[in-house]
Amino acid sequence: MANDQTLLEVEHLKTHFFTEKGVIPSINDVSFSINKGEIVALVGESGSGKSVTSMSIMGLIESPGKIVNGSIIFDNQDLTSLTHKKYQKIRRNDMSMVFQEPLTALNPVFSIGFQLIETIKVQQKTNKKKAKEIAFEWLEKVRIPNPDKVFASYPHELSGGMRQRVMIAMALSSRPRLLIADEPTTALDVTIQKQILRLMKDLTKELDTAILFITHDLGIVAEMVDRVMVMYGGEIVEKSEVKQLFHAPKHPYTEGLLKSTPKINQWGEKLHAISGTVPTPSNLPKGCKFHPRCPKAFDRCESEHPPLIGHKDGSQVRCLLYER
Amino acid sequence: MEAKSVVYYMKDRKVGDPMAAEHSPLLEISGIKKYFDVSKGIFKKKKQYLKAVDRVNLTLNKGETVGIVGESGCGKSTLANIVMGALPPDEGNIIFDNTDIYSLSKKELKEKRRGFQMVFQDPSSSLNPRMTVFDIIAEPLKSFNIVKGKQLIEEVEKLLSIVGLDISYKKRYPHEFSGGQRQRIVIARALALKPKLIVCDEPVSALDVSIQAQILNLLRELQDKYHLTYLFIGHGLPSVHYISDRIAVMYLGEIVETGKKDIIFQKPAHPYTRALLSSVPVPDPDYQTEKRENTEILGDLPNPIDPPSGCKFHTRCPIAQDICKQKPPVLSSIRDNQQTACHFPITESLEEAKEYKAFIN
Repeated sequence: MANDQTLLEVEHLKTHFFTEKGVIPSINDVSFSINKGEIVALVGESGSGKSVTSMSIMGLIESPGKIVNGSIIFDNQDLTSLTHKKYQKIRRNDMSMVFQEPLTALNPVFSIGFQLIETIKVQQKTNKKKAKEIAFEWLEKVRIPNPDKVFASYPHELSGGMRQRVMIAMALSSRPRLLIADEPTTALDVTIQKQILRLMKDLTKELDTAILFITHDLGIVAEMVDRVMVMYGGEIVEKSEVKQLFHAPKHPYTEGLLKSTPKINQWGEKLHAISGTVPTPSNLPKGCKFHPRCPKAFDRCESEHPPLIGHKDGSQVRCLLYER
Repeated sequence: MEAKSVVYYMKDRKVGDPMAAEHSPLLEISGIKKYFDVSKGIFKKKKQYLKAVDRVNLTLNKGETVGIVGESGCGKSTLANIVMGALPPDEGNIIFDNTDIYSLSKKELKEKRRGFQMVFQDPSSSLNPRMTVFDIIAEPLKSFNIVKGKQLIEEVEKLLSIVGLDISYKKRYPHEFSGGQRQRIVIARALALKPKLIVCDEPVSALDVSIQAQILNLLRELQDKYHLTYLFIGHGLPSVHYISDRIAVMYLGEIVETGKKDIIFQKPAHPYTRALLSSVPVPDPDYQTEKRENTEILGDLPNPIDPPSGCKFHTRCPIAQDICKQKPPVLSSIRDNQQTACHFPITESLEEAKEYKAFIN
């Protein structure tokens, strides 16, 4: 429950999309909290609702999507009831986002310098000269080797890694308290990924910024985060400390996911594969959303929707096997 | 600590692919060069070339899987296209089943290509959205006049069941399937002509984690059943590791290290391979802190149009010396089943390599 360390508290969040073909329940009853300065991962496959969750928090859900229920308490105010203007102020100062593909997030017709200055001017309400100083300070902070050159370049002239550094500079220059990173390294090569991850970890530690890290890569989870939430079919199926998740996964889906990930430090026999396909949000099964693919499913799983059940080691799992 | 005992450096190391002689090669990639002309200006006074693939030699034996890993722009996909006969190389030969495929006429090449097929990264763009699954899988069978009528239907149904799809799916269209199922359709189409070699260009990169394992397992099963040979291209090291027998690591158009999978992953000798391996996030929180060598590779990939002199990796290499800037290293054997193109290959344990690094710094 909320205490003075809590930065963000999402409760019973439901975001649905009202399309011509009917209502698509993208996320259903998602609840979690993030403490100040903490790194929390949201893990899931495509269609699991992880990106919709982050967009809901950022207030970027647009028609036909709508938050139909629940609250998002950030810094003691409920974001879902804010006016557009007030929301913008929060996004400007306290919350930022880094996206997967920096090329689409940057404007191709303006130079990096111009875009950085514009962002900083609006965020910190300073003049151009001061903004330029801050921009250079941040280009150095994100370890860009030749800031002068990058400042004058256009997005297409930079490599993917450099572009993502610029995005991080933009996102962190307002010293936000929460950074939402939506698969920020998926488009990058592994050696660059490592640089970017380390950069994010170092900078957010310095600024005491919390990160909600959205990813499908369990390797990144193990390296980066403190706590993990696993999403499946629009809901959280397991919440756990990172070590617990890897040592003692509870939900059969988490277990399957861990087993089906090839590891370079293990000499593998046949990979364990989760059978079946990932359900789409418009076509979710009844009962437990995972039961058609679950090796441990029994008759009740087909009809009963399991609640999040607390486990004695502090983790929570949405599975009837843990009922007592 | 004596540095020389740490770094193993011999002048007359064996050059060539030692694996080739022992087994029967199915595909020989020898001395492949592909330069793209990227000169600017109307008169093109100054010629500029992008060396996409530079002097690559690789041999695939029957029934084995060779994985090619490397970052974007290292030339691995260009190499795949050259192997498929889709992109003539500037120099070198692709010898498939004792025939140089670029010496064949168009018609002969088409006939030969029955023996080697390709699976692409994105299954939705490699399937025609207007064709049913049946038409897609039947197309190669029809175009080579292999079977007709009732037999054709039977053959398509057989292929569907081989890749684990329900035979009732044959009347559906690609958009009705998930990514994993589409990749199964692509694999079924590739198998239709009973090929010997399948070139897989990042076949699981676009898929969800739980589905990746299914496709990787399917590829392995099919290999055992039909004695297939795979050239498996990927940037996801864990999946390449899982499926391959041998690995070739590419950097800016060149193979910098190649050898048996276990050796490459356990005793990488090229600093780039080491960096690549230590960059892969490992899904085990304890592994991080205890056992892991933590070398962060510096800088970005250099511009491939103007690559560094000497060893192309020297700008990012933690142990680069003067010679690395001047003389390009040759790929040569440093121990059984391992070849490395490095002036100072690291052949000792991690600890000793670290001491060596401390010594030269």
